[in-house]
Amino acid sequence: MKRRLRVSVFVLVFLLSLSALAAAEKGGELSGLDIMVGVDERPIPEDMRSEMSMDLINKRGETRHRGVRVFRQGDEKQIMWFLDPADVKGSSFLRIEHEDGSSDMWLYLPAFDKIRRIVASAKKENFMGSDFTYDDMSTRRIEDYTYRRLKDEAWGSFECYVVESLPKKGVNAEYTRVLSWVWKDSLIPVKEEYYDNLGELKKIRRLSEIEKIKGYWTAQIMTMEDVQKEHRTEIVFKDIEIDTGIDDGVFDTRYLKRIVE
Amino acid sequence: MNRPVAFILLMIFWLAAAPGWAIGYRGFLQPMVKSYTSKDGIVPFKFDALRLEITSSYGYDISWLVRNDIYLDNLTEERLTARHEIREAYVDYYTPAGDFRVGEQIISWGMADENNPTDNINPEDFSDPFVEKSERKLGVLALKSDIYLGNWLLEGVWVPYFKASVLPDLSGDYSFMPFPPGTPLPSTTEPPQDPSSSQFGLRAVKRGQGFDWSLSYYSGYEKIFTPVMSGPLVTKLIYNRIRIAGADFASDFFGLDTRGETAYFITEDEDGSDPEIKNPYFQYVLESSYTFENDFKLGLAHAGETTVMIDDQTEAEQEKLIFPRAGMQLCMFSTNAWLLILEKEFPDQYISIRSPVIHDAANDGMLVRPEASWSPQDNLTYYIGLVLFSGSGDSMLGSFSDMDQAYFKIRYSF
Repeated sequence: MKRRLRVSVFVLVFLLSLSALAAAEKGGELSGLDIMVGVDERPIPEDMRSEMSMDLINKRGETRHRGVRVFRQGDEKQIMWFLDPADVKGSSFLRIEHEDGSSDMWLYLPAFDKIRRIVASAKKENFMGSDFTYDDMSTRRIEDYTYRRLKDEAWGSFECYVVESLPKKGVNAEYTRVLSWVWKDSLIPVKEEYYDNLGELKKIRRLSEIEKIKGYWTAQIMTMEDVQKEHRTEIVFKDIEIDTGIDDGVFDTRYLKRIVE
Repeated sequence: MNRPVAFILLMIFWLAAAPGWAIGYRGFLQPMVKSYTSKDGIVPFKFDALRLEITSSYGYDISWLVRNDIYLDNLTEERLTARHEIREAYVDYYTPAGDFRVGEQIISWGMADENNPTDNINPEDFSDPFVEKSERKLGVLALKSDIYLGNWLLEGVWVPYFKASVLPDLSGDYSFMPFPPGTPLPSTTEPPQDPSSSQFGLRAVKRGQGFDWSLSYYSGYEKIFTPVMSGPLVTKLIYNRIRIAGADFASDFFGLDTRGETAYFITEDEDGSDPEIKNPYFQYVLESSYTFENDFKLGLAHAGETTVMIDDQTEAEQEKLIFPRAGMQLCMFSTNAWLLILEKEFPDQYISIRSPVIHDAANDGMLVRPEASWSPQDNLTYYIGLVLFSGSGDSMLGSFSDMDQAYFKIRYSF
């Protein structure tokens, strides 16, 4: 009797899995959670290094430029050194995310010769005058949000799933609602809208010039627009190198004070 | 320039001439106009300063830096005053186990923002005590090692020779020395320039998991001399030894950016029996800040000092007259101070406004320093600000109340 029950359960699970796979194949029945899990688990490089050209543009079209070198290890570790202009040269930033979802961030400002911890309450501050907050540079944890799939839409040439993410009760999130346009071919969120405490649209992040480099879909242009301040930050990634085997030791406060070639 | 620094500079220039060394430079020009609002409207023009920093590296293991500041003061007067200061001139050597730096250098300890009781290694230029600490600090010849052991950083510093701080003239604008102008003072007796005047410091730092903290110990000299009295006369000015044990942290408490430091200063009057030398004392600072969504930052800090080993009220009164000669400069003005910091950014206009307020709760004095800055383009920033003193004559800050300042400066970075 017990054996028959086990076989029945196995058959049931098998049939359910088959139907889920079939649904996934069609794309139509994927839930918002399925899509965002797919986004979270899509293949990403072990490590990446690039030069970033970061332009900060206000509503009058005035532009400030920042040249930055960035090293990443997965989604968890990132270190950035500002190369120009002269008044920010030598400043650097380190982010390390932990498995429990917490993160450590430090900023080094050469004028004060101090490595300064960015504490949680300061993570809503803008990063070096850009439209990215320190929180924007972290990854959102899947389990901190509830998801609802909305009607699919094309954004430019990208055919996209559209998913609404709402922070769960008790989660200290910067935005009360996030809408993600996830390109079906790559599971990259090519556009995201962020809503503030009043439910008003605060920012829009857009990715473009997405190409496969070493087998990984990689965006070469990223724009964050603060629609309330009418200010935007455009980042162009140049000289992208993937999986070059960056030493794990580089992602340490030790390296904030010297720029790695 | 002393011989060891000259040797370091020679070594650096020799390295610069060797093939394979890539040289870079950066710095800034900072002309400044400063006007005293209540002292006869004097408007000295200060070319304050030209900083040139030359750096170079060879491969990834060795680099060097020379940082030189040139000051041109009193351009409106007949005689131009020019001076320069080699702030830093050092060689770095990086190894897998640790980093080593030898030469004239500035060492920063402490996780609090501006007031750091644990930061005592470098001498300071106190001639204008109201400039930022990073500008006051003077380089010191030292060997520094940073050893990395897992999540720990162990810092060791050896300073072979004593280097004195620059103290304000008794008749200077902001003399906080406890002697009236014109007091005949003998020249200072500095410790011998040999290894017997060595100083050293050790610090263990742990960063990560939401909490950074460190423990430190420094054995060195006080920054300000102690007068040796014979009746009413000052017969000698000497620099006393001091040992300082400190601790500091930075973390998030109740949603606030919170930083704190404390240090225990063991003076040469270790048992509190010498009436002319300050008893051992604690200094501490605790600061918290919060940034609102409209780019407005509000910070509050409390800094203070407590002298220990006081036997009776008479000694307590005597100790009040001896100001601390190491640790936070703020404690030279107040042993019980509250700091309020208001900051507002207008990123779209590239304008920033900040106004630190210091209230000396012990003696009822106050310092307010509003400053606005505007960056019309990269590398160029204009500053306009006020330095306003008020309070009772008993307070050091109140005693400067006829020395309010207004200033305008331009910084061009290159």
